[in-house]
Amino acid sequence: MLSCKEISHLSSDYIDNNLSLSKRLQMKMHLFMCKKCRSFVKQMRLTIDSLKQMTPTADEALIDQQVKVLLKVNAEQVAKADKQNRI
Amino acid sequence: MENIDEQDLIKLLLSGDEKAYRHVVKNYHNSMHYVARSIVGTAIADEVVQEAWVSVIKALPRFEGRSSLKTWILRIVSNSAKSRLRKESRHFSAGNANDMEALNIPDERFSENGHWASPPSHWNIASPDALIAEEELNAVIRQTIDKLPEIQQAIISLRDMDGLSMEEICKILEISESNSRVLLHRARSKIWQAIEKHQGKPTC
Repeated sequence: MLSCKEISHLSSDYIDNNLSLSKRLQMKMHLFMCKKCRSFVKQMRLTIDSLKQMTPTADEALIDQQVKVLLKVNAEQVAKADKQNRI
Repeated sequence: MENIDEQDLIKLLLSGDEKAYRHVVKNYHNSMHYVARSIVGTAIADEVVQEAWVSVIKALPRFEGRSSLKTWILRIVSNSAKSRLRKESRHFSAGNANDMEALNIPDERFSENGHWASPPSHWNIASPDALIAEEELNAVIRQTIDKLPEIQQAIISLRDMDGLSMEEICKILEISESNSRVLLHRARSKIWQAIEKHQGKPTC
């Protein structure tokens, strides 16, 4: 029988569906009987699902600046390609 | 722009469309930074990301679409970072999952027989929407991620926030799957602890 501590270690792989069938069954059995671990796994799942919904935060000023740089690099590339095509 | 087809996005990028550039910078820049930092460290991560962007734009006409655009870009970042290390004769060592720092859930939460000694406390929040809607909690999560070791930051953001597969992440970061799984679990455990501390009302 898996201990609660072992359950906590396996929780990520359980949620990601990355456990062997036998480990998975052992884990399900434990969860069936242990309310504390059920609540732990539920919270871990909620943690992961919340991360999935978090959007990247990038500073607007930084984005502006970066976009400017990239547009310039792209324009240079296009100009270079045109020049080569003409030759 | 949010649900744009990747082929269309690439065409717009090649034609120099400002909105398309804004879209990729907004959605990819952070992840690029995480990858760079995990390989070369914070001090020169910015430079490496800039180099990588230039390589991306130069190589974009030849992008074949064998992976998603994001995965392809992150691999370019990883390559730029590693070649930078070689130039500086430094070696890349991805986080070692065997080190003892920051173990998953702290041992003192369990008794000697492996049962919960201090069980998970009750959370008032029951859905991801409710959780991220709470600004304070949102900030707590972001701060916790920022405090993780760099390699864990990279893994958790690529996996959970960007939704990349473990296989792709292992290729980008050149780290074994078992190692990356351990590190991912550690990172998630840290965030679980931070949320718990914030929610913090023990039920027992």
